[in-house]
Amino acid sequence: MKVIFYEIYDCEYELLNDKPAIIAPYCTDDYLLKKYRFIQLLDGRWVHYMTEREIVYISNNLNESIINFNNCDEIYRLSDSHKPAPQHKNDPAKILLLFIITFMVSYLIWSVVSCINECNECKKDIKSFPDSCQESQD
Amino acid sequence: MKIHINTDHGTISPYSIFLLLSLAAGTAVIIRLCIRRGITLRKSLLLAAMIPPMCISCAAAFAFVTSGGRIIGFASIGAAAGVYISALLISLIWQTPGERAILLQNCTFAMPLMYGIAKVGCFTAGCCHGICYDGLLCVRYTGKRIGDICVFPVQLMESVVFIAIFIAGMVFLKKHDIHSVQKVAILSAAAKFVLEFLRKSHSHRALSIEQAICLLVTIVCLINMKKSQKRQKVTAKSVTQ
Repeated sequence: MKVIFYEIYDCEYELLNDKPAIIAPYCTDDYLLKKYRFIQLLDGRWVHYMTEREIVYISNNLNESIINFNNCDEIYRLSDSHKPAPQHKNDPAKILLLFIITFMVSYLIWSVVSCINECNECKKDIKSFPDSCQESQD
Repeated sequence: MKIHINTDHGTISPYSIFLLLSLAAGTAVIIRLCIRRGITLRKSLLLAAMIPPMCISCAAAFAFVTSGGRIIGFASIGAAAGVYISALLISLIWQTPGERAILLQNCTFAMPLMYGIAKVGCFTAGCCHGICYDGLLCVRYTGKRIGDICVFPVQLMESVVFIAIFIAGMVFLKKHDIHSVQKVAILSAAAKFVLEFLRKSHSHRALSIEQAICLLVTIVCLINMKKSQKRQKVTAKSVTQ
């Protein structure tokens, strides 16, 4: 069965790990693969695991030799997985800040752990000090 | 030829520098692989933000628990668990089908590099040092904490081996080998298992907790590979029919 998945032609329909999936042909444009949320498997194939609406559409058209997703209703076309995510202007800045804070917190934790360790070693040295004093007096 | 390392460092410890470097390198590799394999930039960056604190917390927790509350330090197996937990949390937040496997695979590819760089830090600090040894390339550690000892450079050996495993993993991935993740996991587990015998802390034990985990990982990966090969044969038969 051949599938025309919106702007990507000659896709294949397959069950991968018991999940219905669309497999893009080789040499599909990277931009289209990212736009329609395809992910790359270890064997190099780009695959899109179908949403519930897409599964319903494809099961209603199983008898067709070519299934064209461009013909499906507007409801299916504008399904959540294909709507471009709303662009928040401050998103990259927030993520960068979160990144920096995370590194600072990690370094702080590490410093605290080192301090505790050194304190424990100091305590061990103090405990053994009176014994060494005793020995020198003797 | 002897290498002499004085472990009494100044304000900035080389160990912490290499630790941060390993986190930065591993996180960069994971981001790059995620973006290349179709994960969105936002998810990749959030995963990258979660990895360092999870790594450090789980590494410290593992060392604390397995030593019965006696040691405050970091354990590599705990750090590995932290990386995987971060990937699982990201996949639970978004629940996009198929992405969990991609995230976990990318973490597996990056981990040998993280471990290899971190071991250079261990080498400079004298922790996790090897058995007593006085031959070629032996390392002489001096310092208030460690005293004066001559040991086998097991940390350097681990660093070289694991960076080689990372490069091999990248080659397997580039060749689209479907068993690349299992191969990297098996190679890493086998290397860790064998090199553990050269560590001083292993002297009075038959098998350490880390070695037991490595054995378990190897068995699970081998079973996974067999199942995957069987599934492939069944699919090939059904296609030809």
